[in-house]
Amino acid sequence: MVESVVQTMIIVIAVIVAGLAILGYTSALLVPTEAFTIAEQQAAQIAAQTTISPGPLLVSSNGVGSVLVEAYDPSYSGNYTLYVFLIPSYLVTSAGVVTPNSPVVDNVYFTVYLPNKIQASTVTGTRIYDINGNELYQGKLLVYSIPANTPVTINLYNVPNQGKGYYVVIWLMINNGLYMFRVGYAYTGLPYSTG
Amino acid sequence: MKLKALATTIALIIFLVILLSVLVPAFFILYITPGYSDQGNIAAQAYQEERDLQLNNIFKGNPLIYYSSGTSPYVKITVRTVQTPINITQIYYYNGTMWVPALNNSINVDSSMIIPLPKAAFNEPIVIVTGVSNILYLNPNTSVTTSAVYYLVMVYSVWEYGGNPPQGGF
Repeated sequence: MVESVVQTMIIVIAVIVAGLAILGYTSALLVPTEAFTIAEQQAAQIAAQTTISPGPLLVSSNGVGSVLVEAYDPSYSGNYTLYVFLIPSYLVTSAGVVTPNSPVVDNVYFTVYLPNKIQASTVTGTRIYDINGNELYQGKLLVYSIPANTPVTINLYNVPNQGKGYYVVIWLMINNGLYMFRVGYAYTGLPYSTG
Repeated sequence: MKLKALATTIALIIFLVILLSVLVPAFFILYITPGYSDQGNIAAQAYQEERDLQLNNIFKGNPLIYYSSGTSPYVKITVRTVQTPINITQIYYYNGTMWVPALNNSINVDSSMIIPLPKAAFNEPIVIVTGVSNILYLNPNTSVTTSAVYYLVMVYSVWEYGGNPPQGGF
């Protein structure tokens, strides 16, 4: 009878331990993963709906480049975040995989203006994921917050060689507070006439 | 004794059920991507068609958009046939350094009209942004049908669409 009680106690303890282990696993791994996955799915939906329309890049004689961009998604009225960088023209076919920390990329200083001529607010991004949940960029990145369906002006400073031989890559991201996902990218260069 | 053996089995079954009730949702969350983005693709396709339609109409000169860049620059829009009105979100002119917005409000083009631009636009290119986010680049004294219209759209992981790709002088 005494042995039976000990056995039962062992089973009860084992079940409690197993239960705690499952609880620990759920809260430590599953809950953050679920939050991430939900954010990723939202990003994927916005990514599928959003189109980016860039205008041409015009560069003045003092090396200030200016580009127009509109992120268009009629069913989204929130904000995107935006980052731009310059790539040499031979990389244009791989514009989708070039990231700001690549050594050939020129991360020029840039400002973003809304149509009311007010400068867009900035956000510091730390990690940027693509819509498959893979990490695209790690490190601090100063990005601008822009509204959807509104054209914005991007001014790039110290553009080398009057922009000849360079393209501007525009990264469009959404930021849900916890994670930043790149929902689209586009590139643009000098127009025919000024080339 | 028989009853006790059965109790262990029942306990194990309960344990299994608890385990599955955690693992099955975990599997769904981790490995199954629902069709959100498919849904988005379908929506995006409709927008894209609308934009293409508008762009085709503009290319065919319906309406005809002409940018006159004299000392009093203006954009002249000639509507020829009845069609879906074009909404102009903004017109930007280049002031030598940056693109500057010229309009205070968006304009709904339902009939022929002339939109005056600031004098600073003289002999500088302009960009017209339409309501469906088509971007029309116009050199001075050209119309959309004759100018090299700038058009490049890219949708991540959906499709790539290009009109006239940008040509730098390199």
